[in-house]
Amino acid sequence: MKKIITINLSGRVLQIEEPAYEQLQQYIASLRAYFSKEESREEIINDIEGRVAEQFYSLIQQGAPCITEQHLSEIIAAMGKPEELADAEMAESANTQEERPLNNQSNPNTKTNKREFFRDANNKVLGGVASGIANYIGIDPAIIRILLVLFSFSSFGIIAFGYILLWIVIPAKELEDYMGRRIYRNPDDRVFAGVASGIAAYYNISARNIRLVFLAPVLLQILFSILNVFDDSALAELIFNISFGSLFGFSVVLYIILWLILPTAETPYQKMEMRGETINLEKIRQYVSEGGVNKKMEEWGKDVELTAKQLSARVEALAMEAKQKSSGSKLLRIVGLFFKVIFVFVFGGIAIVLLIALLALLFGGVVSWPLQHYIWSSSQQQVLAWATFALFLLVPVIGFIIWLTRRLINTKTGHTYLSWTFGGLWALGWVALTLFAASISKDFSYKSKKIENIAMPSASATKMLVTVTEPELEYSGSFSWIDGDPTGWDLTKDTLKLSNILIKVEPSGDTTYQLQVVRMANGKDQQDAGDRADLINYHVVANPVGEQQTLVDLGNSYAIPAMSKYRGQQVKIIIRVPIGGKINFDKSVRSKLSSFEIKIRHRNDNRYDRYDWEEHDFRYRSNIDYIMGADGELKASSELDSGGETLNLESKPPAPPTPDTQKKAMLLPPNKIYPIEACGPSLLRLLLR
Amino acid sequence: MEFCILSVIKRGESYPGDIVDEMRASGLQILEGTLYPLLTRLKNAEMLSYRWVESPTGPPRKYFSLTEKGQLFYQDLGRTWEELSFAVNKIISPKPTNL
Repeated sequence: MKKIITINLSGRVLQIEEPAYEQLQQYIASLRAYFSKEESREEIINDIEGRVAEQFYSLIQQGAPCITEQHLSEIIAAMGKPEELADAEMAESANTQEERPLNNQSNPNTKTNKREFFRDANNKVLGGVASGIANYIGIDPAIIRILLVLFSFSSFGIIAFGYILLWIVIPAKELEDYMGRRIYRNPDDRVFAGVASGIAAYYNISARNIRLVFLAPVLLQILFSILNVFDDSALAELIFNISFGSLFGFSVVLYIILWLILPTAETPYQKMEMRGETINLEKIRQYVSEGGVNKKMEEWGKDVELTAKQLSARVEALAMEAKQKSSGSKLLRIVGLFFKVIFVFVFGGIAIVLLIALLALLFGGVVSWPLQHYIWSSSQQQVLAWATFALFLLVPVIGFIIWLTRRLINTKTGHTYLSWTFGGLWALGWVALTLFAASISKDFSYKSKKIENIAMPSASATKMLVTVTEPELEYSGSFSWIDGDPTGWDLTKDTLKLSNILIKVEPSGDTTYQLQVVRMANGKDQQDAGDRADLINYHVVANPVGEQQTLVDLGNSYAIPAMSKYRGQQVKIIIRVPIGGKINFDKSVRSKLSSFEIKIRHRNDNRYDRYDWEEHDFRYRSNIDYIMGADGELKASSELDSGGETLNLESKPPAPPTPDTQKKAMLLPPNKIYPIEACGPSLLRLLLR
Repeated sequence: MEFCILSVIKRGESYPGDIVDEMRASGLQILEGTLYPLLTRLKNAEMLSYRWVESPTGPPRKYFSLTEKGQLFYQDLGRTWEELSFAVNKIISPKPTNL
């Protein structure tokens, strides 16, 4: 049973079976594609439609109740399918001896058996290289363009260079429009946006397979997070992070990008293009079953050889030409080309930087995940942080990639809403960034210092020994797969430990040694900052060694609880030495209390050189007795007699001793946030590792 | 093929259906699909003109006729054809071999 519909074809009202009608539509569409180069295509199509209608009419006159597929295929057989027309036209043009002045069509070279590689002058974005390649191997130029874009992101300019080379070397020619299948999104068979089924239609395979490819990383991630619940071992985390974390992101990002880049097949003709029906399914089937593919690959191999030879010849010819000609127009062209090249490089450079930033953020997101507990102090801040990340950073990067690719594959921008959406999202990102920055900086607006006096065991001591007996702080988790420095900091779910403790030596006002631990932190108000400073956990122990000496054992790090967040917490040790008193730093002070950010790896000896430490704060040599001079400067005892140079290069003059040595909060100007300068960049560096 | 089409049209105003029928009648199998673009090209090149003629069965049909330029072109084609067929005939007919 077939549905019969009534159509109006060229002014005739006709009864036609629905399948026949669909077939007719496809046929007309394929003719339309075939005559796309024809100046008066519509007129030809109208004539043909009129003729078909006439024949339909006479069939009905002869007593047929309606037009069937049988009727239609007879008529189409008489009229000729596009590929038959092409054959006929070719045969004719081969027979005609003289030139055909009437033929407006540029002689299509694609119909000859031996294809040549040209740049496509008709369908080009920059130099027509991509569509030339696509024409040469007979696929949708969009694919070549997408591949080119994707690879130029990852190849750091090699592809761009190759493109420019081809651009220079390959001659341009007006090639025929691509007639075969095109990649579209398939709106009829979709789960999300029809990307998978569109790709499937292009390659003529099951959409399920493509979907599986997209879904596999997602499923694996779910599997692994389930496994992670039971087995939270470092190994599982490691495997997950390396393989599926990035794959998951990749498949999702790829899907979204394809979603935005690929146009939807909306009209019946586009759907046919998608399924490749314009080039007649029967023909493809024949072609494949007759082993045409293998033959074609062989031919192609030969063609490649030939092309390579031609290429070298062409380069020689070009070089010769360049030698001979140096006319003004040539010069202009070269200048034009030069600008194009620069344009490509600048463009490519921006794109590469953006992509690297995106990858760094995606990857860094995984790495810095534990740090999240230390960044935002409220759920509001957390939301703002994520909004900033997604809207301010991700949106423009994705938007730029999409814009570039759409430009490159020449997608008709019927989607102004797309740019509006991206613009709007980005504007929101700015708002989120501003709010987030304001909120975070508000958390830094007040600074509090809590000073703790450590009791000295002996008032009559004349020498102080400073040491660190605890082992050097190392990261307790597993970051082993990152080539980073695992010492000097530690990070767990509830504690952040840092070992960058500042040490300052001052003269004391009297004859006794004094020791102070200063805990500093920032907060949104004085109270907040003070509470945060109180929560810094740090221990110093002072023990007597004999009658005359005091041994000060510094803790290896200070701990910041996750609940108090990271707001520029810093610990400073102030040692007050009486004039004439001795002080000696054990080498453990230098080796264990360095902060991670000041370790510079020297490639020569593969050791950590801590020059930053030495240059700014702690300039005292290990295991040498220093004596506090009357001027408030420490002098090495061995050099004192010879009146040698001062080794203490501390730039700041020693601050007068604080009279109030009780634990006390001190208000500092809000713009002075120097502990952050010490830790901030290093944390950032850590994030971006 | 252009020559054939022009010959048919030269004999009198014709519409594409007639041309196809006539060519088929004389044993030339052509695809109608090639006819329309050719006619349109000839028309665009001002070799042909057409007018709409009411048909007995439905909407008007395009009837083509030769223009002056078309006449000249036809004569050219005719001459070429004669030369060609003369040459071809001469080649395919047995040659005297006394040279």
